[in-house]
Amino acid sequence: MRRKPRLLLLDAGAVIGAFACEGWDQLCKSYHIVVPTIVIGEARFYHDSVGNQRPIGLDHHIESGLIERFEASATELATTIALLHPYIRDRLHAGELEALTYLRLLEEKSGIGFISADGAAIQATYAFDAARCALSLAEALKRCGITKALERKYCEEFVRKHLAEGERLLVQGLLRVDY
Amino acid sequence: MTDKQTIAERIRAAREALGYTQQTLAELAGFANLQTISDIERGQREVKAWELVQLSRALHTDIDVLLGLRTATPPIRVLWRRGSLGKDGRREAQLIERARRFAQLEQWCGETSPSTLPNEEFEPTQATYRSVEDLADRYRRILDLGNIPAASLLTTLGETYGVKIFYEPLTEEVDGDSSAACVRGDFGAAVLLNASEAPWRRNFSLAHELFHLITWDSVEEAWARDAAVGEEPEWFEQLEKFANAFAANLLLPEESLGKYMDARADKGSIRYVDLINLARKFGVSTQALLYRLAKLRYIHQETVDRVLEDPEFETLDRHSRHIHWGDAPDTFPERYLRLAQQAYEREIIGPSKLAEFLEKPLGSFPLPDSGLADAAETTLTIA
Repeated sequence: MRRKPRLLLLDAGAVIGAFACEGWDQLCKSYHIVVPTIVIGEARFYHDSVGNQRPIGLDHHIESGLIERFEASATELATTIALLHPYIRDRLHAGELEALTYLRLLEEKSGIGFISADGAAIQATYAFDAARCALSLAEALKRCGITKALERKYCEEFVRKHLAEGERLLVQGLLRVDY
Repeated sequence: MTDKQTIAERIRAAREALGYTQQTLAELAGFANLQTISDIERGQREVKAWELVQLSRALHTDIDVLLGLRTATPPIRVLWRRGSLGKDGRREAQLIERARRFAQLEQWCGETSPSTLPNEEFEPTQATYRSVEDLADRYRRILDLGNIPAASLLTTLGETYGVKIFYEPLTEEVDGDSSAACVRGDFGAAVLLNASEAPWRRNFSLAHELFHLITWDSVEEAWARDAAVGEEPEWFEQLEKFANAFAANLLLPEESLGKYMDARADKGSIRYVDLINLARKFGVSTQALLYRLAKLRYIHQETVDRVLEDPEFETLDRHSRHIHWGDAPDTFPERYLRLAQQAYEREIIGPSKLAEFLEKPLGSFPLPDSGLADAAETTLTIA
């Protein structure tokens, strides 16, 4: 059986977006979903198509083995943060920093994609040579055969804009302190 | 390099700075028992990233500080109105954390305030009521507060002078008997007001805190000179009285109050209802108004004492309070919320950071439209 491609949900916005557009089940069928522990704690509610607030409950999905939890240690997190320039670091949430730690620790990045609803987090992936793994939620769903009109932060245009910005910051030395 | 020992030391230092026990920290961070904290502080347990986040929230400290990647800023004295008994450091740490976030938003959005609050020379051991009243008159003019200063004080301090004004329903358990606090630091000037208080009491507290903010540096110097670490100087009680005199003078200008009273002088009396309406008009309590009228010799002090003890006056005043009280203010000032929204719309920060700054769980509030980034950056030429 062919292994499913890995898909890291880099921030709570990505998780919420997947639930809000009713694409979560399809993503879980098509990808091996990885979610950082801090993001799991943040992604607690979403608003459905008629605006009702609904619980997400990712712990249940982890217990059933549907998705994988990534748990960084504080020292691993520290190494990630220490590499980031304050210009980008201050704009990132702790959950995103844990997700970046996952990407930093990966030796082989060819079999993984990530989704983020945060421009700064997409920019920061350049710091760990992971920008090429960026995907929009719309594109990830399209690869499972679902086409949906989504909010801008879940579309390819958003990802492309922030990848370009990330590349610019990398060149200017505003992404990593050791560049 | 960050190791278990560094993290252990930083967590212990941050906990002790707030005056928390290990038990309190365990409860606030959502840990099942204090053994976890004890093990972490002895460097015997590896801290998970998510645990560090819980701890940083409980300690109102950046994770970078707990990881030893950023130097902890030296303690900043927060001045509390009416003493400090019964408090631990959580409100102070929370106020400073919020003020720093506010300053960060200002920086991201390029929106620093047009003016900075001045720092006046002030010697607490030599000051007089006269000099404090003169200072209030001068500041009413500097801040351009007009005839009814309470009507514009909050907006002027927040929008023009960038004073970061937050609200919390202060409780006796956490805050002792204090009703407001203020601080000046690397983030500018910040004030904490009691959201549970009446609007006119908050106005007075804000004016009171303004006195402390504009005399901050001088008083800090005198404090360091006259008091041992962790103690209040002998003149602190007098300083609080000066701050009250400043507030009364700032909010109840002699000239505009005089015009109102002179118009009634020929009648030789003033009705209870007029006094109460006058207090509401100037945005102060009836007590503050009556004391001020006594100070300005429009009413004898004995009359003031008698009025304040009259149940009829109390009933009438209470009835008026119900009508004018209004809703309790939100924790964050409107400018803070505006800057946070702007930072999100311009895609400087993402949804998670926005939720962190608003101190709300993501998904529990409607996110501003993320499709406005390009529109937000559209420029036009100024003539």
